[in-house]
Amino acid sequence: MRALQTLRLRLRSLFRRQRVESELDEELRYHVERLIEENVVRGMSADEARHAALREMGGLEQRKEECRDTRGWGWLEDLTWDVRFAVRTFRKSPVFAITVIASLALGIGVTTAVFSAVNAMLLRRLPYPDPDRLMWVAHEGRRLNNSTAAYGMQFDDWRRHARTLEDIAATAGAGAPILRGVGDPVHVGARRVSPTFFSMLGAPMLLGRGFLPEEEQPGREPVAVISHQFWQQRLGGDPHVVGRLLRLDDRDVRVVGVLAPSARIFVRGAVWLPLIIDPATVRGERQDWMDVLARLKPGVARETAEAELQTIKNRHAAGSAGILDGRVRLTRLEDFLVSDSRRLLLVLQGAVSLTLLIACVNVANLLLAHGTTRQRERAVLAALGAGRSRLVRQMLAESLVLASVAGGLGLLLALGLVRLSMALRPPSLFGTLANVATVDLDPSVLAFTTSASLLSALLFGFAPALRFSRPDLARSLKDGGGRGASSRHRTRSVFLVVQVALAMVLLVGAGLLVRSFVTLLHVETGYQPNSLLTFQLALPKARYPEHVDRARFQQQLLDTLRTVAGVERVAAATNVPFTGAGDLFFGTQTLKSRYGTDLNSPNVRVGLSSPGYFQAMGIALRQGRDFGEQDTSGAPPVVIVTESFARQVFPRGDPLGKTLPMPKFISKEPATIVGVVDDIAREAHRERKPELYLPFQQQWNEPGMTVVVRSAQGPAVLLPSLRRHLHSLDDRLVVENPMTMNARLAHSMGPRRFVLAMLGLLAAVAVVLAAGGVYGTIAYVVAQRTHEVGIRQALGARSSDVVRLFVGQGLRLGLGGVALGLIAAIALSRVIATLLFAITPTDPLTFASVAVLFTGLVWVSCWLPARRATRVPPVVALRQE
Amino acid sequence: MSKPTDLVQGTLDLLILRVIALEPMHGWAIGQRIKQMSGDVLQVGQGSLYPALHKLEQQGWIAAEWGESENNRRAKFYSLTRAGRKALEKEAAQWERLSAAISLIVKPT
Repeated sequence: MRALQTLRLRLRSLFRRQRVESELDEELRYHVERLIEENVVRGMSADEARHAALREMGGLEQRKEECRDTRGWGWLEDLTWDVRFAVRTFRKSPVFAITVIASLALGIGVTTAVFSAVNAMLLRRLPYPDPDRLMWVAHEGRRLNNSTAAYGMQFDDWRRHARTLEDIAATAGAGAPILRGVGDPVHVGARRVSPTFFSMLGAPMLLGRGFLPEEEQPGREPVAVISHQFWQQRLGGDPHVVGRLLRLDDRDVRVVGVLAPSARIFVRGAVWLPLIIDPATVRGERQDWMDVLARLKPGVARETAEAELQTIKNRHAAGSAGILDGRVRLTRLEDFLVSDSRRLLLVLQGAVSLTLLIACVNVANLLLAHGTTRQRERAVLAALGAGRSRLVRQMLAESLVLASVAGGLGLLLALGLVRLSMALRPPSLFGTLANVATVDLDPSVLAFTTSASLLSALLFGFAPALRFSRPDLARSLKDGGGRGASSRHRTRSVFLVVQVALAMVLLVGAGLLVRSFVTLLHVETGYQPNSLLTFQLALPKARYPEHVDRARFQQQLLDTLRTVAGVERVAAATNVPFTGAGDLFFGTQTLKSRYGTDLNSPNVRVGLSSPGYFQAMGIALRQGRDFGEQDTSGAPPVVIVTESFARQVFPRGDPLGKTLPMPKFISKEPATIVGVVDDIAREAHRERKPELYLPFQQQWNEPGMTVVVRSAQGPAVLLPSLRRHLHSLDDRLVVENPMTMNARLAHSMGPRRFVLAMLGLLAAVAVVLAAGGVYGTIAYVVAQRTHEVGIRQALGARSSDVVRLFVGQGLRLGLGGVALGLIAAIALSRVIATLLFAITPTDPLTFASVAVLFTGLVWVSCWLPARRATRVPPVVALRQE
Repeated sequence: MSKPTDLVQGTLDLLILRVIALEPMHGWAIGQRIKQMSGDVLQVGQGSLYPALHKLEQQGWIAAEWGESENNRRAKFYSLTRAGRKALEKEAAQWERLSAAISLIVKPT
């Protein structure tokens, strides 16, 4: 009851203040009037009576104030006053307030934006059930994230024999079949999956069902599961879609299920088909590579399962040459999906923390300086009776005002930056991961900013508050502004040094990464990417059943395209860089047994190429000849090797005329080496690895190829006529993914460019903050000593002497920071060593230029305020307190 | 007559509670009544009555209501709440004990 009444009264006085005030007024007025009446009765005049009454009351306003105090909102009113006071103070010194707010807002805004990206990519867990038991199965030897998982034969063996696994599933590409009968013909992304694939990833069906175990047998009615997006966008959300026939590559496929929109699958696909495991695959005659996922039985260690799969592979692979030779590796699917970007993202996160730290130190330093200048003001307040807690509260209010304004601005900035980063985000950001994660500002990020801003408010608000809440009254008042006790100078000097050092570390890191990126961009690729247009084409097996049919068509096509105006050269291959197609590999153990030499990589990439491909791409032919008309399917098998292959396998002697044993699915006879070409650089790391080329005419199992066209004309002019010529041969084929080679190259650099842009942004902010910090501190020191400058100048010091004095002082500190930063950067650069390309983590050029840059910045930051101080006429300076 | 006796701190609350225990009263009347009941010995400072009243109201011991005064004007009437009544009993008992103790010491034997 009582508590309720109190609450009611308090709320009333808070929200109906006007009313409560007027009631108070009326109540007291009534009392005064009675007093006056009484006085009049005693015989006073009206005027006298009024004065006497007011005197007796002891001041009407004071009484009202006492009544107000009983309402319990004193602290709130104090706070209001503190906030108003703070705002007034900041208006009086706008440069200080703006610097602090800008520092914090930049720090908070930029870090929130970058943290959002990191959060989306790294911290947020992938939505798969029981992620610790979900494994990616791969073969060692290439970079894990690109690695070929396994051939169908191995998958089948593992599924039959593995005891450590609860479940195992596979997925493989299915090209981009053409969908007809629903609007214009289009290519749709298709993938093949084994029956338990969806359930393993916890992907539910919205309609219908997933695949049945028997559906992976060959010769059954073709069925498909479709994605929610495809269902909505292409089929208009047809409610009776289950059971409907889709015409894919001239084949009717029956839809049996629609994936729920919540299904998050790490590979993209519109149409999902059953992965057919036919006897040829099981015998290892058909090369069909697939990505393999496994779920461990509860309690089984990763290593145990790894060993078992290795054993099974060894046992069953014996005698079948050309199987992947690398060791079997299991990686947590989650780690696998982020592995490529993990380190970059962690570096980014480190950079975020550093930037925020620099912002905080900056602000702390500014507030510390500000606090010192106001020591006299505080002493006056204390002398007037303000208690210690009152002073602390007032300083805190100031920090809170700054922090909330800066926090709000920072949040706006972050929102803008996130928008911007989404707009700039390359479609392939972080590879496959882009499919499962989106970048947006989410509540945990919001919490991060808020706590960062509050924490910094406490950090920089409280420290000075405690320090100055105990002012030595007499001294402060006499001192006229507290011309710094040396301990305070020391704290600020330490801050300044730390700030410069932190920014140095960040800039060195960013510099190293940017430099290696630029180097990467200028690495010789081994081919000529300029004026090269590429597009992909798939010849459906229904109309081109045998590889000779496909080869015949290809020859016709290339001959026709050669006649297009402006086309210089035309050729085709399966392994054009950055097309993500036709990655065939085979093991190299057979080479070892034959030639006794070893390759530095357990698997060799094999591509098919048409005659004239090397010329069209601008890949140099070092020895021997290109493929030609004579290399038909009846002729003896031939192969062209790359230079590194030749060097490694035939270190002495001529590779031409030597024979290479081929895997069963490629050829029963060994192939003769007829030529040696330059290695080319693939993927972002641009390593050159040994490769083999085979002629289309002799092998062509998969229906896809990439056509390369060298022409001075742009794609806009060229494409329509290329299409016309293609359709004159077969009007049902679709030109897929046409892109210039330069665009493909740029595209492949997208993710790295994005991360580096983020890092660059952070580094730039850090440099601005550090420079601002140095400037602010030195400017403050100079301002404090304007008086002294006046005396010096009055006594005949030249302005250059004065400037030298301050610059020297600032430079000493700045150089300390630079030195400390260099040491820290050397220690920390090891973290990013694996991300660097072609430069060492202690790259002297980067370190030297960053050090010079910072020294220059410090010098300018000291020189500007020092110079300004000397411009003040000595008379004015001397009068200054 | 000597200067109005300064009220011991806290006793003003007790007096107010005591006075309005009889009937709801407005501030002026409370002051008058205290003066009258104490035989003009106790005189509440004209202004100090109101902060005390507001404090008691905030504590929930008394409640306020606007009403008509004896000379037909609007005035704020204070009355005792149940909590106030309990508090009055306790405070009164406390006062008894205290004043008895003080009398024991001060009274010449």
